[in-house]
Amino acid sequence: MEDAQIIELYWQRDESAMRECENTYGAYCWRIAMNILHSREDAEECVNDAWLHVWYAIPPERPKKLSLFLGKIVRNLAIDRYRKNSAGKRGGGQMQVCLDELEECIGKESALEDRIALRGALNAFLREMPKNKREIFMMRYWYLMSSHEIAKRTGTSEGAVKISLHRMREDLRAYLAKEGMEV
Amino acid sequence: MTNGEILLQAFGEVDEELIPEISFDNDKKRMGNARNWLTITEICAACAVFVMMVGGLFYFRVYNTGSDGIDKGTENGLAGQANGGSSFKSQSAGQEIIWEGSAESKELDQQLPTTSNEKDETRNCNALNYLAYYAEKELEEARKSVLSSEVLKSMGEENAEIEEAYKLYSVQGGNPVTVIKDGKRLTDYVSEEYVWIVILNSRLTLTIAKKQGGWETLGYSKPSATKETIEVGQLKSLNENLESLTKNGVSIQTVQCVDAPVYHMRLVYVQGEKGDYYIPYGSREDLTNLTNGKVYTAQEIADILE
Repeated sequence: MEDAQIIELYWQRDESAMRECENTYGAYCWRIAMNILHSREDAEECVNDAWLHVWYAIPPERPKKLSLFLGKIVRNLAIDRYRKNSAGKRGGGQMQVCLDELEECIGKESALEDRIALRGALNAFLREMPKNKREIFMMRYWYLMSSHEIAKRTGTSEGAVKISLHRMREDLRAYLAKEGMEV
Repeated sequence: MTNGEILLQAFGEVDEELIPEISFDNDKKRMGNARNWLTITEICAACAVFVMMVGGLFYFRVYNTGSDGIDKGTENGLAGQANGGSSFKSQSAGQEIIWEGSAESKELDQQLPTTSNEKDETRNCNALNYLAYYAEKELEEARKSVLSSEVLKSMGEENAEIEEAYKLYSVQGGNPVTVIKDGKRLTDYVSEEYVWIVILNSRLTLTIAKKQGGWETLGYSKPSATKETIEVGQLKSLNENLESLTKNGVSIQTVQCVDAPVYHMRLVYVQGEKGDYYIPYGSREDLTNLTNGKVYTAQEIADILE
């Protein structure tokens, strides 16, 4: 079923919308949650929570891209659950590795306060990047994929992905410093 | 919230056109509730498993029936164990352990008793060996799965090697001690499903299980939390205990390790022909008053944990 049809079902408050959504985007959402939580049970619970969130979010929302709309919800829920699971005690996954990598970009001495400015800077930074590099960066920090999986998807070696990510993090760090966000 | 988390959250809020759309269709297979139909591959795999099981049963019958026509497997209470037998494997250097299942099948065939009159101690051990052969194949699959798992990579343990692995069963109701206290035989309450506990040489312990055709890492614990697992050194005492039981005329039918989380321990359950025995391995001997690695009868366990 097309996105528009699923969204229309939500607007009509038709409960089959959830089933259609699950059929179309179940695996997509599950993988995002799994990348973060690394626990089948937690990922499934998280995805089930997401269906409920979507039910209450549409309407009033009418997302342009349903996949990304769902992905954001699942990602946020999974990150929340990860925190509740006390810093990854219940699993490995990519979350802690990604967090450590990102701390390199921004430091951890004092808390960042202007989050709106950060989001703006990040948007601007990503826009300046070549598309292929941006995709790798987003696969890592939006989808929280492992370097191995990114390498498989992009047809490069894992080492090349790691080097590429390292350089991009360096660039991000320099960019954020230039924007006055180095802490 | 750390700055890393803030930045990660900011990534989640970037403009949608910057996020690549990615398909995860391959993951549909890995989701429990994503579909309710079988793929051709799964049907073929199921058929292959069925054929192997039938073949295995036939093989078992043929090699366990002597010239007198008596089914020795049944006589020893071994029939039906092929699916539920437990194996323990120790790779301690230079130490031969009686039931290690690494022998080739031909060697195992030679070790298996050929007449119904062979009531010696090696008979049971070899029978367990026979069963372990099948578990060994599964362990090999599990081994590959563990060593290539993301968990090891993410923890920088890619070079770790497996030191020990055993199957862990659960008991209906979750507490084997309740069953023992009620005077029932644990064998009727042990689950068919099990997980493999895999201990690496770095002392990291992984719990893995076969789910929907693939191996999955269900969890791990770091060295400080592995006290209640069966450790390498303890397996030696376990083998000695079992050997001792066999020498004392106990015909061992099944050996399984069951979880008793309430008592912070795991119980090695030895099902004998005339009675059952239990060998506890726990982190709270002070709480249970059971000595790790010591053989107890069901009555003794019930009395001590009263």
